[in-house]
Amino acid sequence: MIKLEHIVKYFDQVHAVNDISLTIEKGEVICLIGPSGSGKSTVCRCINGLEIPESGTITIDGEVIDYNNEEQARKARSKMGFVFQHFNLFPHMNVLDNMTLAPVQVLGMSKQDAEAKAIDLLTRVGLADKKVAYPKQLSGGQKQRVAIARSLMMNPEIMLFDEPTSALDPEMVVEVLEVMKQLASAGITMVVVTHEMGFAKEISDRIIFLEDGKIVEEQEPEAFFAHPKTQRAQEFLKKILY
Amino acid sequence: MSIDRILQTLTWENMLYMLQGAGWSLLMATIALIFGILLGVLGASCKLSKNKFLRFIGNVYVEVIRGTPMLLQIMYLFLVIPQIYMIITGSPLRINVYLIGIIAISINSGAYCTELIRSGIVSIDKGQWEASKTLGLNHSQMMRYVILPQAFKQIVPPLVSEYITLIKDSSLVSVIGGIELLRSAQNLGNRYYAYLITLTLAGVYYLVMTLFISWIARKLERRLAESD
Repeated sequence: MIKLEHIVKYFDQVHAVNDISLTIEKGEVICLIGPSGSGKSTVCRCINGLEIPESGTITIDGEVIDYNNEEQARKARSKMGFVFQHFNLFPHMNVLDNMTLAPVQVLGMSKQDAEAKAIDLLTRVGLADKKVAYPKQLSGGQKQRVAIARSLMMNPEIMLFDEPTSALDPEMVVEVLEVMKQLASAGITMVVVTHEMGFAKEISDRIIFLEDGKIVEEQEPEAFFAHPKTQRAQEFLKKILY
Repeated sequence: MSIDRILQTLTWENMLYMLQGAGWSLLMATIALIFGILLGVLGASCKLSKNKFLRFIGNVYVEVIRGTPMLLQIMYLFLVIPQIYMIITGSPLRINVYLIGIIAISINSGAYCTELIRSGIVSIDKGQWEASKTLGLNHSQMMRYVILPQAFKQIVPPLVSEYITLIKDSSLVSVIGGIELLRSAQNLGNRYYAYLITLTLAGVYYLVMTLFISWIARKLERRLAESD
């Protein structure tokens, strides 16, 4: 379980996140949506300490995490996978090496076991034939699927997705969403920052709508998309659901 | 300049004498580059450290070495260190001039390599650091497997320039009596009064070394470029 309490984060004077509290239950899939600059990515990054909030507490499985403390940060991150908008694969390593580096170095897995596991995961995301390819040889959608598989190598209980399809060509989006849907149905806890409303509606248990660093509305997806309670959410949906 | 003079100067023996000088130049530059890179990794770690004191040390090292002539640094080691040693122990200190040359050039190159390596490291995309963190790699694993291999690729071309500079700058060791390539040419020139031949030949020797290094570097760069 992840619990955020009164998270505040500034970027040079700008209130990126302004007093956000949020609880995410085990196995829950939540989508963070909202206009750009609403703070949704920052919330996602705060959960695993890529941003350190000015104030507020982050509790994971009952333990308050201080991300300034290396030890605590590593322990907390070991439970979470993070998928970036720009994939962040290691360009100098092929797909297998990208995937096996952390399990071998951090978990002390043997190279053979790690490779077997990597191939298994690559098969699940439909990329077994790309195991010796370098990232530059892959399309955006393939890169993102490798990136997801790479984080799954560490057996995360929670997966954080920060706009995983925003940097993709339109026709690459579906293949990545399919993989994420698979994960959601496998019961992994997921926090997804996304602009894919159809996807959010289909897979999430709860929609969190943010604006100006605050949670404006929090609802089940059916209700949110059918009858948004706040005027701001109504306007937002009208604009993006063309 | 008569043909006789040329033949008299360009004997096997003399050519070998200059080749030996070239050997010293190349040896000093190569060892200095290796130690320079090691010092550079250390210096860059200092300059990028969270610790204020280490950053200070790194900055002082780079600024002092980069801001004074290498010739001064060589003479300093050759003349000042033995004097200090004399004051402390009361006995004279004789150090091999080539060793002094290697030490001085290494320290000098270390300052330039510090800046090269530091700029290579900071040029790596922030996403690479973040991905390493989220995967649980600790700082040294991240540096060793993710950041440095990519930074190294970026700094190969300026490192090659540094190597070529060192080969040429090793001629400064002649001032303290090292018979490297330039001094060997000068010595022969003096003996036969044939500077045109010997200095031209020295130039050719330098060019052979530096062009060869450039050629190897181009091949290496092409190899490294294959994965990105």
